[in-house]
Amino acid sequence: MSLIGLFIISFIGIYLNVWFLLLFLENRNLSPKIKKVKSFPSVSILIPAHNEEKNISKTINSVLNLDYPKKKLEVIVIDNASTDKTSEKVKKFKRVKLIRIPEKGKAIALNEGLKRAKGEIIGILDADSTVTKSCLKEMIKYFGDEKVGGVTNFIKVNEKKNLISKLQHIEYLLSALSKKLVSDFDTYFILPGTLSLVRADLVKKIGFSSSTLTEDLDLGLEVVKRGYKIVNCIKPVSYTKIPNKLKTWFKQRIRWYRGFIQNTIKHKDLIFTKRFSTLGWFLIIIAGYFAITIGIYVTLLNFYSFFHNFFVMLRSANFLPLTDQINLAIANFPSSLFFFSHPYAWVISLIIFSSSFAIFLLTLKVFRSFNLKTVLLLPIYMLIYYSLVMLVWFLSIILEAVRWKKEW
Amino acid sequence: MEKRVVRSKIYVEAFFISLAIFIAGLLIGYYLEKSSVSEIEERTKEIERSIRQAELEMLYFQTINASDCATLNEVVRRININLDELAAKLASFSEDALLSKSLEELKEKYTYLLIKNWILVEKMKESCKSQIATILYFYKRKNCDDCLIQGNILSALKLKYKEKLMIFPLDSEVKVEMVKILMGKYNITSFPSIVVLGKKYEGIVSKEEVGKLILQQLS
Repeated sequence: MSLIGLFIISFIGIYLNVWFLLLFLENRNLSPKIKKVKSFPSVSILIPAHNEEKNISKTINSVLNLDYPKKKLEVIVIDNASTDKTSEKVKKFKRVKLIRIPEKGKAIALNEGLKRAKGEIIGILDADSTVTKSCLKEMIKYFGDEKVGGVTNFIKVNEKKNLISKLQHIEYLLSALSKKLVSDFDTYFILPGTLSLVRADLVKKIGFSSSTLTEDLDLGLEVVKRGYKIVNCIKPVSYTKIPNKLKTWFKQRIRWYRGFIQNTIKHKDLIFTKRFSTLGWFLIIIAGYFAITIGIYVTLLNFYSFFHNFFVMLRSANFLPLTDQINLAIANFPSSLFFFSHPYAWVISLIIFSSSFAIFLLTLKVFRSFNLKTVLLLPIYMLIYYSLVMLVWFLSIILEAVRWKKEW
Repeated sequence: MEKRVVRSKIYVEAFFISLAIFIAGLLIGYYLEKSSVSEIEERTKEIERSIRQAELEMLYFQTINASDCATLNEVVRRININLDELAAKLASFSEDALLSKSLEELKEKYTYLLIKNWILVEKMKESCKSQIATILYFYKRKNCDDCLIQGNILSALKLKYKEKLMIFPLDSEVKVEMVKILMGKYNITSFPSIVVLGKKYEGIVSKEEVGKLILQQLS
């Protein structure tokens, strides 16, 4: 590894972190200025459900509990091809309209629901997500601006029992800051199923499409393409059910990232429009990822030399008894501690990780999620979780490149 | 629609702040290296002085044919300890150092002193019948895992025999003419190689075998 190459790559890592930090400091105010709506528009919330008997009641309850004029709120559950008691559970709620369709597929279900929806605003909610009481009222305000086509909220995870869900909890918190910044610059583009609101006339024109693996991203990009903006706001909160096993997490991520790649290709013309022509939104999205990626890369190089020396030591056990090697290590202490041949690389990873760490701490503080347990998990998050995420990205790109057909 | 964009000044500001962090890091690294290098330089000068002293003593003993082997032995022993310390200090630097040029010069100087000391020890062994075993060890710095292993074996033996064993590690890539001459004389073509009592041994020589070669010299 040449020293110059290491310096250049680490400079990029430091730059991204500093840039992100400056941008954040300039846009500290969490709620953007808005023209408020004078009256409440009618809202139809669509809940597609496929074998969701375990979650559906909780979801419907949270929706019925929303602080919103009852006459203005329509709830439609679309049971697509469920083989369990989903429909029975839904029937217990008198205010909820139930549609049953035999075909599988979220997009098909949503289109079916859209036909029946009467509201001026359409809400999209997954059967395993729940909303907080004030969520809808907070979100609806933003439609006072005619150019707002969609509104999304602050997604939190509903459980933090094991390590993998705790790590995702951190991930959702951290990504909320990026989302907020992207939204501040009017370039946000995802409408996730954790209650996203869209103007009914707009979504009826567009419709839901099954052509990519992530219909929420597809719809978001279509909205943006038509000149509208999507607002991501921090104040209203929704909860989403996350995979709590590595296997299901892995499947979900493969689907997301492949969907992301598919949508990038499908909407590639959008990248070159004036609105997305600035580097800003792209950097916001990759800043956190990329800086840490560089940190991990440099650390891996360090570990490479560590393990290399370790294997040399193992090999020398054939010629030199272990007791001698231990004596040698003691005699050469403390320089024997530094097996590693790249002291600069260690300094660089330290700088990058500590600046990333600072950004994360700041995020936790902004979202009032600052507690010792979460902070202690951050190093694991940065080193292990990010490596896993990168691995899945890498796999997704390969799967897309070979057009792997199997559903994950 | 009023379009909000990232203020272009942020890109510039971020650049200069990163540059400042980066340069600060470089300066700290440079300062730390520099102070280590000057320490090594100081030690090298010390060793140079004692070698000159020893040479003079040697010359004096040879000229007037008197032998004060005890004094000479002590001087040579001290030089060897100092050289070993210097070697450890030099080895603690990575190949990727900012001051690699001045380090290279120091390595050359070190090798030069090492060979001088070796000649001194060989002469002393002859005239004083000293109980000292010597090993010339030829190695390569890059891409030579076997050299690391052989180095470990020799260091372990050094721990065992202490002052009775003197190892002279010669880096084949250092630009010192005398190293080339020695390599030519002992026909060194592969690394690691050791030379004991004028005989060359190629590849990794095990601890037991080197031990035998040492005892051969001490008896």
